[in-house]
Amino acid sequence: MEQRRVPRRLKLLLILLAAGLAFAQSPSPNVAGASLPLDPNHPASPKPSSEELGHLTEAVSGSLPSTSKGPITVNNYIDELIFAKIRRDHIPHAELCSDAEFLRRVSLDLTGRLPEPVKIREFVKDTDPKKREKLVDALMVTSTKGVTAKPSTPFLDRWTYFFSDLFSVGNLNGPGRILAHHYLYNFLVTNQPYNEFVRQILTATTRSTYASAEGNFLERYYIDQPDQSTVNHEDTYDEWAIRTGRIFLGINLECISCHDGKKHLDKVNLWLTGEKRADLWRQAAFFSKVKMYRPYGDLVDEFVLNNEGKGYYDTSSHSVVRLQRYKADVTPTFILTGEHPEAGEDPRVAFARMLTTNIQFARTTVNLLWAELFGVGIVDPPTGFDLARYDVPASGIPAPWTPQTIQADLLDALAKDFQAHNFDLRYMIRLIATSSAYQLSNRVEGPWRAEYVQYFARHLVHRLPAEQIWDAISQSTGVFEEFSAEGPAKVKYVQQTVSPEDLPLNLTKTLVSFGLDDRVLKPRSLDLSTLQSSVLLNSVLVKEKLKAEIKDSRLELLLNAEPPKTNKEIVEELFLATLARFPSAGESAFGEKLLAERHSKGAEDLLWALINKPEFILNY
Amino acid sequence: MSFLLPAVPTLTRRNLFKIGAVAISGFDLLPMLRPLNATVKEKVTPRGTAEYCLYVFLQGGCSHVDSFDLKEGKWTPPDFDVKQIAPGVKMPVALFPKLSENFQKFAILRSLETWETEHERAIYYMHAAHGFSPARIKEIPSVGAIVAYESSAKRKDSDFLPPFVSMNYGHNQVRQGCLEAKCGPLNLDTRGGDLSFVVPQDEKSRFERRISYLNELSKLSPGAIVPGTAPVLQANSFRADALGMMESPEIPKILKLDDSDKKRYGDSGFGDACILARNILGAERGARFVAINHGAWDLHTNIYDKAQKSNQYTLSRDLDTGLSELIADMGRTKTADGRTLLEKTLIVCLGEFGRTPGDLTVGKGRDHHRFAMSALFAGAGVVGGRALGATDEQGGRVVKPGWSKNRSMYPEDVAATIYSALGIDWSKEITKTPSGRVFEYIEFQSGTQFLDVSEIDSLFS
Repeated sequence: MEQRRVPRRLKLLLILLAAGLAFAQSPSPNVAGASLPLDPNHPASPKPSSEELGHLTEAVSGSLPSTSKGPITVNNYIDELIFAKIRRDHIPHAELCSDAEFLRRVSLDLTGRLPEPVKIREFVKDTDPKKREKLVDALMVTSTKGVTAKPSTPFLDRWTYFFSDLFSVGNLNGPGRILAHHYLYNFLVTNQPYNEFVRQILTATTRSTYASAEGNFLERYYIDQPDQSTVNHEDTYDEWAIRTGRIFLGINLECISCHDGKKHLDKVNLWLTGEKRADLWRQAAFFSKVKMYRPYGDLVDEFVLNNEGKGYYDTSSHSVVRLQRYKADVTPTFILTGEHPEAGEDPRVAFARMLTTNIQFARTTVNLLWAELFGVGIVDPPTGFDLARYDVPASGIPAPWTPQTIQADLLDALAKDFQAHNFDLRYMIRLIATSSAYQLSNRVEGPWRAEYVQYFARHLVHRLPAEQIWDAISQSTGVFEEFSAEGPAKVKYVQQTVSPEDLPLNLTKTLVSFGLDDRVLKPRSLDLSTLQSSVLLNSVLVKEKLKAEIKDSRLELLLNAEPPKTNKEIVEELFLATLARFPSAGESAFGEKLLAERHSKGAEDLLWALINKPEFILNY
Repeated sequence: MSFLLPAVPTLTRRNLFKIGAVAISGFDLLPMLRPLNATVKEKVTPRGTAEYCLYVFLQGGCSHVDSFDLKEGKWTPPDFDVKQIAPGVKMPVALFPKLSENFQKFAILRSLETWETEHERAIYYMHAAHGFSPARIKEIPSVGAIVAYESSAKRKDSDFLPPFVSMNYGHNQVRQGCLEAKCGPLNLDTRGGDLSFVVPQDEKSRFERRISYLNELSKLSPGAIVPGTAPVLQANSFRADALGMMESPEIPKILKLDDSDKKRYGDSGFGDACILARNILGAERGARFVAINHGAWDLHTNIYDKAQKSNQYTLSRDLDTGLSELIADMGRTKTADGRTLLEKTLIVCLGEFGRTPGDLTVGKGRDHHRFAMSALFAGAGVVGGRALGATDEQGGRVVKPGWSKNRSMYPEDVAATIYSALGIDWSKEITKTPSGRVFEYIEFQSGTQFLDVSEIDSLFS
């Protein structure tokens, strides 16, 4: 990471560079494909109610080839809606993944970590038909029984990290980043309704962003005047409108921040094509009572945020980062509905109310969660909604545009459910993770076509994010770094840190090659690369973790276990610890041979080879 | 259900970094398009004097009036040792002793303008030669990636280096956009990063053994993922590329930072990157575009204060030492076709923008300035020993363009010059991009104006 200080007024970068591109997707229903019907032999839970599902159940009864994995059950309405379309359009689909695959996938998705070997053995052996559901619950629970310190679970770590990333908590908050971290942790540990949480951060005032957390979320996106000592308020309001649009409404208002949509976005986003720069300003005008300033001089990025601003959006003010504004009506107007604040209502309170009660807020949030668990959003990228072709009938969409997704009914059902369940994130995560759709394997017989992706007819293989790769290497080898995340307490996992600033420089550089971002400049990348291969093959940081003599490392404990473990047991343990699956007979024999020939050196080599198998860095 | 066994990661050194070998995205079969078949719009005649390009980027924005377009005033520190080194060219010799001495090898451009004054947008603009657009950020490739893409036909079986190597870039790198990942930069870090492409001599036999184990294992089980799945294919293909580099007997020499070299090049992260650039290009093993990031020139405060870790003196000295030694070495390196490496390489050195001229700011520094900036060019037929174009008395505005177009030069013109030197028709366009908007190698507009973009011809005559 660069050691330079990012000049303050450039902090809009997050928005500028993180802006996603709304790819035009052209769904083509009726794609030809082998008919591989589905079969819920088991009674659906909850009970199938829709006519469509009745049809589905009847039509496919008894026709699925039996597998050791059992039939695909309709576990909830996600499955009803997904499998109805798969069946309707004759899309080949995967079967349920194996227990070991499910355990690995759901552990990574919900907790960011691999399952431990003992857990894998236990889970695979378990004959409880409800064991997958129970596993999801067990991964999510926070036990407070007998706990005197702050309870910490991998689930809380992973989702605190996720939201820290989403809200760009980092160096630009100064010491406020620690406060923001705790604040997010509290929101998750208490399972505070998400709408309430978002209302809090959108309407926050603070005497100091170094002393209280709430103000840090807006503070993060200010733009300075050229003298870099005072805030340019109109530019900052614009950033807030853009940022809240992206992460809470799934829309990319950045595109209309410099120019109207028309003649710029005609091929990019139909809805944005109809929006104007002034629409962004009217959205930004909700923030126009906010005053933000540095109370202690211009070299300290400690801010006051209060409601003593001038109360109107001034189009004649000078923009530091964009083309100058023109005269326009800038009454605060919510971009999705045209609503204004009610008489006497604080505009920010009005904004938070309109935003959190709009279905698009629920959709966007649920879609973000879906993307985390499936590797791809129902609308993807999740910041790329095109509202003019989202839940609009195909007949209402001008050619050559087509509907943005075939799963709008699913996303809306999820969004309404999220609202009905009081914006309960855990409920939604659990609902998705316990669906059969989430549990499909990545394997489909016969050719696979890009058009099938939108059906979620199999699990899409995607690379682990940089942090998860590093944590998986640490966990597999049992050799950990110590990171100073918040004061004297040290943590072992990257996903327990507050932000990438907590990592040592050499590790940061390594993780940048895996697409780690600093939450300021660019979206994280999940691409693979040559450099990544070389790091896994030969970087000192990785090689150092593979040494069998390191005290209490996984290898050291395995090789010196009492009573001694057989080579076969050691090999199995290493496969479970790295790939979270049992070795095949051939793999086991090969590993045993390595150990027999070279003992600890052979074990090191085997561990190295396992970490270098593609499946180690992939979520499948 | 039976699956094909995965292709065993190949250890042959053929087709490394071969474009077209695997799909684009790290995601599994998302509907991404492969935008091949760039088409020519209106034929231009590229110069084709260079095989390679070395791009030195001064991150943060170098103060032109304290370097290549020196403007003396009461702000000028007396120890700058300003001297006239060629007709009309004054240099702060204390800051650039070696470049001043070897000025015959360089040409200075003083009539550049840009549009961006905000770092990230400016960095983006300089590397992509396209204005920043949030709608297109994912699909616009950098100039280096285009060079990599265009050079794919020239790749030989013996080539094992990636076509686009970058050094010391962080998050702010412009990558391959809609082109394949193999066109993107392979970034090495000489500032404490881990050069994992070199297997230490005493680990060689073990490394070979480990690779053979990995191959054995991959034959024994298809694993948990369908072998034909894109990320698996990609992982295997990238690993083959990495191994092709690591197992080459030439790589220890190419990535070697020899102590005497290090000392000669200034013993800095930048100097080390220059050594590697020399070796990488000099090897002539497929690397076409090498970019080095040198920072941090963003001296808003205390620009002349030697007590500061980074200041005009330290940065200039690092640049001067590294770049001069590099160019000298490249001039001494004979290549297979008899030309020197310098003759075959276009060297371009510029920053994000200029800096505010005249008196220093209240913070004793200089802020961002877009109306005038300078660049250095060398190699590949560039006629050195002179400065082209001129700015006004304080260096705030361009007053003399110094080339045939008779206007200020823009980053698009710089990119066209790179393409031209490398024999790439810069009027090409790619129509099949993910967004459906045509990607033109060079847009014939700049900022808010239409522009008759052209290579900067006067450099070569």
